[in-house]
Amino acid sequence: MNDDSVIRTRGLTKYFGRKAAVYELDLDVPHGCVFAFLGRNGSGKTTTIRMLMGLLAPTRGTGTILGQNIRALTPEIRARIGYLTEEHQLYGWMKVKDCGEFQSKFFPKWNSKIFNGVIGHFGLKPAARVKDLSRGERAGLCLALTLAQEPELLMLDDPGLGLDPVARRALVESMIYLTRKSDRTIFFSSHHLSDVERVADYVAVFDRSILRACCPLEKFQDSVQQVRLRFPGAPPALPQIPGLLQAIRTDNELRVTCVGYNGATESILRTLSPLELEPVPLGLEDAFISYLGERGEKTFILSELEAKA
Amino acid sequence: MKTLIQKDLRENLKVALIGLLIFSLLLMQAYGSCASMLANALRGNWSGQVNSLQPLLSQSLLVPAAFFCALFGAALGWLQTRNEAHRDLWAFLIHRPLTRTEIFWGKTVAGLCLYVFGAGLPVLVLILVVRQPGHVAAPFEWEMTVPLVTIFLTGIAYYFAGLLTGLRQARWWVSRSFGLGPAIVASFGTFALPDFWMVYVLLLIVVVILATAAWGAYQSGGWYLGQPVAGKLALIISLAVGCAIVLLAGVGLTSGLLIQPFVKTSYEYSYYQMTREGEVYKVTMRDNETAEIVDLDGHPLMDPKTGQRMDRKAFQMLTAYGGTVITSLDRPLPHRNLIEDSGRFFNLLNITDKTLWYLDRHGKLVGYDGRSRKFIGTLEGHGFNGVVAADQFLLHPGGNYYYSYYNSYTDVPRKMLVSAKTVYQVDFKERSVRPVFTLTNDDEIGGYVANEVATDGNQVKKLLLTTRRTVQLLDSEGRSLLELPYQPGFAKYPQVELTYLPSTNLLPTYAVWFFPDGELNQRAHWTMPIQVRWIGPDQAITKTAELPTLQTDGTESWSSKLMPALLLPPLLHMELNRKMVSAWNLLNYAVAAMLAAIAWQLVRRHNASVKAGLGWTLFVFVLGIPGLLTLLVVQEWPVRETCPECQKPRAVDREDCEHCAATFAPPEKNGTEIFAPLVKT
Amino acid sequence: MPDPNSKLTDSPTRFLFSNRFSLPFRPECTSCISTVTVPITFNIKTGSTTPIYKQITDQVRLGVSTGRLAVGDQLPSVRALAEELVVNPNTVARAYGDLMREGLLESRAGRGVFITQKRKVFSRAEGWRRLEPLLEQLIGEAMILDFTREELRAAFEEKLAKWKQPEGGKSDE
Repeated sequence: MNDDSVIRTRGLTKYFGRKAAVYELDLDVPHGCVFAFLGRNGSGKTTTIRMLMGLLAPTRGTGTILGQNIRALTPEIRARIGYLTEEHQLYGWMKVKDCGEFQSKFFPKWNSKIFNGVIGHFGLKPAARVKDLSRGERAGLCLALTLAQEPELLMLDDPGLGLDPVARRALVESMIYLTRKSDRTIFFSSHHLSDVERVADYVAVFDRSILRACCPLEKFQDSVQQVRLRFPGAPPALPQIPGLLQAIRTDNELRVTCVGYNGATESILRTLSPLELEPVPLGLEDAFISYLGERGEKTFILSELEAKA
Repeated sequence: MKTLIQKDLRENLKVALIGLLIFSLLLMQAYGSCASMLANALRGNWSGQVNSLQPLLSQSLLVPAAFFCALFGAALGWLQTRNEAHRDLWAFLIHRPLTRTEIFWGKTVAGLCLYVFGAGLPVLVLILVVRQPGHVAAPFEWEMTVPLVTIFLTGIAYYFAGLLTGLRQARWWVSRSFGLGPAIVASFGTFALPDFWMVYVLLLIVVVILATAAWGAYQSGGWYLGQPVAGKLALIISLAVGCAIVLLAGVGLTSGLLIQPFVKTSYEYSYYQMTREGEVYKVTMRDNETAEIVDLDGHPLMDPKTGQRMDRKAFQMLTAYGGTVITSLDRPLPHRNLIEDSGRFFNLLNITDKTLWYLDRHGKLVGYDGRSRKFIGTLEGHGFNGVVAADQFLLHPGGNYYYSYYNSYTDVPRKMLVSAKTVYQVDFKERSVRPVFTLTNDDEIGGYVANEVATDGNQVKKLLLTTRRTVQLLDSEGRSLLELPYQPGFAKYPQVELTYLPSTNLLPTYAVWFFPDGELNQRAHWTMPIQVRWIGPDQAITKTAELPTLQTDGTESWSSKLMPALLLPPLLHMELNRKMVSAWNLLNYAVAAMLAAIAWQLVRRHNASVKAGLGWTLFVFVLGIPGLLTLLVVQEWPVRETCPECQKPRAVDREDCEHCAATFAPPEKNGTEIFAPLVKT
Repeated sequence: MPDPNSKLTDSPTRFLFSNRFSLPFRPECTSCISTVTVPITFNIKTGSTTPIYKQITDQVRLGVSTGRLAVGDQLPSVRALAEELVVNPNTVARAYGDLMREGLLESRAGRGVFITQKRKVFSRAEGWRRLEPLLEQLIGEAMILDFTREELRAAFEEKLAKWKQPEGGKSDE
């Protein structure tokens, strides 16, 4: 048990109707890191974040954020957490500068220099109304509001959603800037793996409401490995491999993607007597897609396909 | 929190302004209709209720105002929460260093300020306009503002109901609006409760309940679970009331459309009627048709022309005229509901020479000029020989509250008014008040009625009055035509009726009826008889009779008994039936017990707490079907899955199985897990 | 192979701001402002099969081996480089840590990180293991481009003759 955890959950579960959106989540987010929360759409990421922010009551399980029970977050704790929602929703009738003024009255550590800086960076006019802003501009405004709070913990729910590349880059830069102070922690979910690769220390991967991976970023990338086996003819059937993610059989080749490829796995593969066996390095995106994509074996043998056609 | 209030004010100002506009138009329209009614009255077409000339009391203002305040209040509350309906905007609102209670108060203060602005400002302006002399040609008292102000205040209950409706996360979206139930009850109470202090007590209770329910909804984000107990209780009560109203409306509709047309209810009542000969007959009406006319011995009355039983129309030609007085001495004037009883503020007696003469509730005869609409003065009686300063005229010339709406207005510019001791002839044209009769002893006049009687082809004005000791008939100059002792006394027999019988030797004869007080009679189980005295030409009592009080006999059909037995909660049913044990009561208890058993089953199946189970079972038993409906609407049952250990369904919101205490298994591993310790570099 | 000539100024964000820190707010920590002019420009790619930290170490190594980075040259601080490349400082720290373990980099207290005298840290076998894939790549590419073996050998000799000798390296004479 890491006493240094900013966020800790044990058995956190949420049911919507008969379906579990989040099932038995055990999570520890250490202090001062950049923690990326990955998963496919609808896998339970936003639900988890909303539970952690005390906006959605869990079905069962416990969780603490900055030491406070998530079911009873006090105003003091809320002042220390910055929360950016997916939809970047604000009051449409407010002007940009009104939003800043509104928030500044609530948060004790409000820094208007940061607010004005980020606003300027995104090119927002202070007199513009929120309902006239584009999605990216609204995201910039929400980011400004969140950063100007000077929060200890930043919870970002898919902050890059709908942002153009320039805005996304600015977002990533802001996140890196925040790591200057070592007591700041960032917890964010994202689909932009290039940004995740740049900025994350740790990743947690959510697969259909279950946490399947929680490790440093390089460990994830190292753990997912692909091996290519070449055969003279059609590849044989694949035996049981521990940690198998995908196996693709083509005319002469068998590509196996699995987790935790080691000597034992290699010896199993060698029993198939391939002509060649070589590892194929994977980028983070490919590793992620293999990890969360459809599991199992796929066959693309031309003769078989032609026979079917 | 101040910032939050400001934000909400700014956000919802539009709604308040629209409401302000609509309400102003409504009030202006009501004011205008009063003005046009005045114009009509000045032209000689006086019709309508006595209050129509005072906008603050007229039904054409109070009823639309009630609807408006209800709709506006509810809309304001609902729209205020709908602004944050999107869950991310709700998150934006909630995630700040404020407690939920502070957020609730911030919104509420803003909303109530807007409500007071939108609905209160027009009311204030109207009151000031009415108060200003020259605008309304009718008396004004500050107490007259109470009905409108009370209606304005009921809007606050609707505001909280609107807040609750906007917040509630409910499976059946219709049930979100059930929170309006208590507010609707408050509205009904405003118009229907007998005493006015009751209205305010009810309103206070309703506002507290709805505000607590709305506060609870803020605590949990609109869900039932996760609220503090006070919020849950308030929500349950509100929804129960809402369910009851929906149920009543549904029952009313179904019985009205489906049952009533096919079911005959027999309703029978009888009354005494005296012919011009002085004979008393008992007329029985059944289902609004004359069933029979019998004499006091029970023999049916035969029509000499046809030889058959006399029918009502022929009978009507034979009946005598009379006048009724109620002696309201020693009876405290009840604090009636000011909305229902707004007629007691003043009475329009006459319009002469474009001047309107009112008898106000202080017994003063006040005059308003119809064109300038200004108060011009009072007409006062000073007793006989001017001994009294500004005699107070008696109200309710008919003696009966219900008459105050109608019989007071006369076309002729003369009227007889009565004070405690003196009878006056008031001439509105001459603007004079002339005493014509006075009581010389310490007696006091209790009630009076003016009759126009056709005697020998002329319409003659007569005044029937009762005092503590006597019953007297006067002519229009105050000369005594009849005087007899008030026996039996006014305390037990406050209602006196005089029937005009034909003259003997040119001297009139009468019959005087004494009716017992309804409440006293009821307590005596209807055994007090009606006393009748026949008065001969020399004013002596020639005959007396005691007639048994007639009761209405309703044989209610089984259907009208069945529905209440099935649907009403036991307490209410017992109250209606006034009996502890009867067949219908037992059916009612059985139904309630069955519903309670269903509730117990439901609660125990979904919730292990015995306390909650007992609470809900008692609740459903006491409240009947609305109680069960509330249970179904409010409860958020957890999902149940089969426990792998004991194979029984177990709730997923507990840490372990309630049957075998097996914990929930961690997620199944499929070999592709990547977990590595998170160690800081 | 990383292109040593590409510049980060191609990135559009950098045009918006005058200094190399593309952040909208003035950094409080002045020691993070790099006043160092680095002879090489780092260029990292995301989505590559090489982790970012390894790209950094590879580029430093390439710089040393091509002579662009001399002994005693200063590299930006961890934080400065992290903000310039828009990556997590821990990544840069790891790269620098690896380089220090290799003996290529040293940290002088209060002054920064500097290229050091290269010490022979790798065994010969390890060295061949690192060289092997690069040879494969070079020869394979040349074959695809239809160069003959003689042409390749000649080009190789020429390059080698013209190569500026880094300090302490084995000379090829």
